[in-house]
Amino acid sequence: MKNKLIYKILALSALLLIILVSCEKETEKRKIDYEITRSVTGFSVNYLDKNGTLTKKDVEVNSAKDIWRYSFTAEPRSIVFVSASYKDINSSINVKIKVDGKVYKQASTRYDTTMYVTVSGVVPEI
Amino acid sequence: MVKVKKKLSLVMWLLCLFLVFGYPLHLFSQDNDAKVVRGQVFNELTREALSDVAVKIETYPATEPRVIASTYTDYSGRFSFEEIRDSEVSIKFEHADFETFKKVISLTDGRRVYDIKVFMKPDKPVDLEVVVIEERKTEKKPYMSTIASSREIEQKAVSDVGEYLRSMPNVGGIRRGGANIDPVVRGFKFSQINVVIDGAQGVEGGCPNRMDPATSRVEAEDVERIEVYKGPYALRFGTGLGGTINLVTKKPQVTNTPQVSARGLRGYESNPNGHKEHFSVRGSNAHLYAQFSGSRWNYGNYRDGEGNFIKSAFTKNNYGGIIGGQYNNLYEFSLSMRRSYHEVLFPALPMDEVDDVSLLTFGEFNYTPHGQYFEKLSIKAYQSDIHHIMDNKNRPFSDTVATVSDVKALTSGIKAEAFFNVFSGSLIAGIDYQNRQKDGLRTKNFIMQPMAPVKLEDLWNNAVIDNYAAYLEYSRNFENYDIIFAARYDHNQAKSDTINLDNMMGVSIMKIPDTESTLNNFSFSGGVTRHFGDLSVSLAAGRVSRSPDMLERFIILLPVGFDPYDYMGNPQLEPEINNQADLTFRYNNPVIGPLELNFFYAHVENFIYGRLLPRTVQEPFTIGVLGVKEFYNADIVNITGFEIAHRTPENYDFGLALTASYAHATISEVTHYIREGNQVVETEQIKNDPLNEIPPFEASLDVFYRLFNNKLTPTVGVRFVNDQNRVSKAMYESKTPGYTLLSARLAYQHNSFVSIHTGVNNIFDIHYYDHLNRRMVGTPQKIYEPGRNFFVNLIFNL
Repeated sequence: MKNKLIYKILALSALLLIILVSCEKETEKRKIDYEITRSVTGFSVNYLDKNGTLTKKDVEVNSAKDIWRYSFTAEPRSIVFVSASYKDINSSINVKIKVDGKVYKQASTRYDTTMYVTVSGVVPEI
Repeated sequence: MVKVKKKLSLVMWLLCLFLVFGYPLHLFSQDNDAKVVRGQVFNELTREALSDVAVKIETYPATEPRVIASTYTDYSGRFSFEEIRDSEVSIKFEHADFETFKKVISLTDGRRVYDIKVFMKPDKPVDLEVVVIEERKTEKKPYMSTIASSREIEQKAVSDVGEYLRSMPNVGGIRRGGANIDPVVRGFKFSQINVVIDGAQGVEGGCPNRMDPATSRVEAEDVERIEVYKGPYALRFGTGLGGTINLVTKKPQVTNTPQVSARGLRGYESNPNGHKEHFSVRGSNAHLYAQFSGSRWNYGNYRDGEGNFIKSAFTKNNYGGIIGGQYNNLYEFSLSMRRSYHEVLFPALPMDEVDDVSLLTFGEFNYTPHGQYFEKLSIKAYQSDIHHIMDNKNRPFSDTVATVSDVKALTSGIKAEAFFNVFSGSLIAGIDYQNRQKDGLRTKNFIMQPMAPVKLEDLWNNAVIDNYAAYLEYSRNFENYDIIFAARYDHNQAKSDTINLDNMMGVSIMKIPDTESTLNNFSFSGGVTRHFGDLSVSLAAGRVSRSPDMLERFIILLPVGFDPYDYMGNPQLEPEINNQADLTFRYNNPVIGPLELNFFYAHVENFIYGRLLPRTVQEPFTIGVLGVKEFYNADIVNITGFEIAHRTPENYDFGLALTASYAHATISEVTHYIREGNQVVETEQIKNDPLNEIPPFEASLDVFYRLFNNKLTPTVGVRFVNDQNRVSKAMYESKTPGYTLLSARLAYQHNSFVSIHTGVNNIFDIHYYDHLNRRMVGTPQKIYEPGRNFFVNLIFNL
């Protein structure tokens, strides 16, 4: 009888442990930064925003050192996308996606107003 | 590696020598004129067979009774002791939900076999010793069936039901990832195998590439037993062209007094680094019962035999419940639901399963008057609701086109069966209705283009299949032979909304105008078993028609086959027909144990296969494929093979279980599309091409020794798989080298509350893959199997 009680206590403890262990922790979100630099006068940019909606903007800048930035947090495996073009033939552009502050992808052009510079991908899992 | 292989070859040779010379001597050393005591245990209240009853046979009379042997009842409540020398014995029956009792039996009337039937009344300490001595009555069907109980399943490290099925003779499995292995029975696969849950429930999976076969919808820990009926004969369950797999789930029973019990399992595997937990709590009284259960699996990527990580991680979370009751020993009902959340990586597929949610509901009503002619009425209704999302975001090409597919599949049905005792036999008459619906959309995000255009494509477009069926099964036992006959009629209607695909410019690039079809299928099977003492010979034959499935009828341009082509559905397909015969020899001697030898021959007409459409008719849609194939009814496929199974009697301390199987399949005429690079440049007709994905010859041997009255059982297992050199030229199939694996297990039953099962698979860390494994995406290499794996399962019952 005593043994039976011990076994019951052991088994219930194990079950409780199982239930506690089974509690899921939430997926950790990652910080995303889109950055565009090196444009002398300005550029057009298309990007997927924090809601996954394609947004278009015309951005004016004062110098090549100006940085245009859009930041948000995203679940791993979300699609990130930013694409930009410029009209000043003497300009250049650098488009970057950072994940948690580190460069995930980037691309650049110089003196090329015909091509969009597109950087995209899937937010990597930790 | 070579040294390890040599060692394994040596082990195999030693085992062969033992089998040829040592084992017969061992059997004769255990041979004597001993008695056989066997029987079946039932719940007296529900009349259902009781599994997992601990049965001990002890000396009698004795001041200190000595346990002669002990065992547990199997899924059908059966037990057997086959070497009893005493003239009088006491048998003790123990079960957590029933009172323990003993029965004394005298073995002195000259008979060799004593059959007893025991009815255990829950919780009542008196009037339990209802023991009936019965004549031998075989319940074996005239075709091959393999049945595994939950006890056998939990002794092994299995990630899912499909993985366990691979250990059965002539049952293979297609591996595409770390879990959800897709069963292949004697070379028949996919919809050629009928998978049902609790004898009725069908499940239409979500994935066109079969990430989620029906066997993946029930976790191994929720299974009471797995029944595999080989051949097309089990028509009660549907039209399984090559076989039927019935997953019977665990279910509580009513008890005379209120009771609460619980069960927990904690498992760990070293490769992959995986944890699993399962628990269930059940309660019952004289009229009602209920059970709640849940499980969680969290497995990482596994390592192959050379230490390479395979991206195969998965998580599975499930919970479910069942309530039921019984009134007046006549009426019984139950309602159950099971909800699952799965995420599984599939390195051998273009996508991974990222969010798969399923809800399975099931209701059952039984009326059991046990009349002279009318035995029972059973009605089962069910629904399987699957929402399956997959994507390619773990693949390199997602940098260009990130694709997400979202598929919804719904299967609903009702089945009614009446059981009669007529014409000196048993007659089952049933009707069966099933409705399958499927709709799927693929979203392609072209993320390397400046405006990130999104394109939506149908995978299925509101496809529906209705199947109405009626069937009969009659069986009768004569003095020296048993017969069984079954017939089934299926009226099958299918339709889909327009099947159409547009290109980026909105121009139609594919259209199937006629998407409706109606088929009427008649299926028959029959068999006879002749008994010659311990030997019996069975012959079964059948002709079974299967209607094409959702994929074969309605899939819209996807690479779902074994070969690198986009496949297109064909709503006008004819049914696939299997004409099969099985010849089975069974020898069941109390000294040697059961021995089964089976030969089968299947002649499949209208075999559903793929044929290439000219590029002028249809351009492929997937990058890298050779073209588009349309499903069509090809020529004849012949499949032959054999199976051997042997197990020593349960009461031997030392024992072994041996199985061997082989299947040989050929398609009579097929077109081979000769390719150069990514282009088909020529065709040739091939006669008698080997069918693709046929498992090679395989043999396995488990040697075990029961210690301390069955409390501790160490087992050593060897699995030998031959090379597969018969490969399909038409499907560009490659040869697969054979392999030999060694494993060891230890089962420890401390008492009825605690048991531990531990072991190691692939002890020598062999680097191998199975012939049925699919190729890793982007490589010609098939996905390797896990290397060495230590596992432990700890089970609590209270």
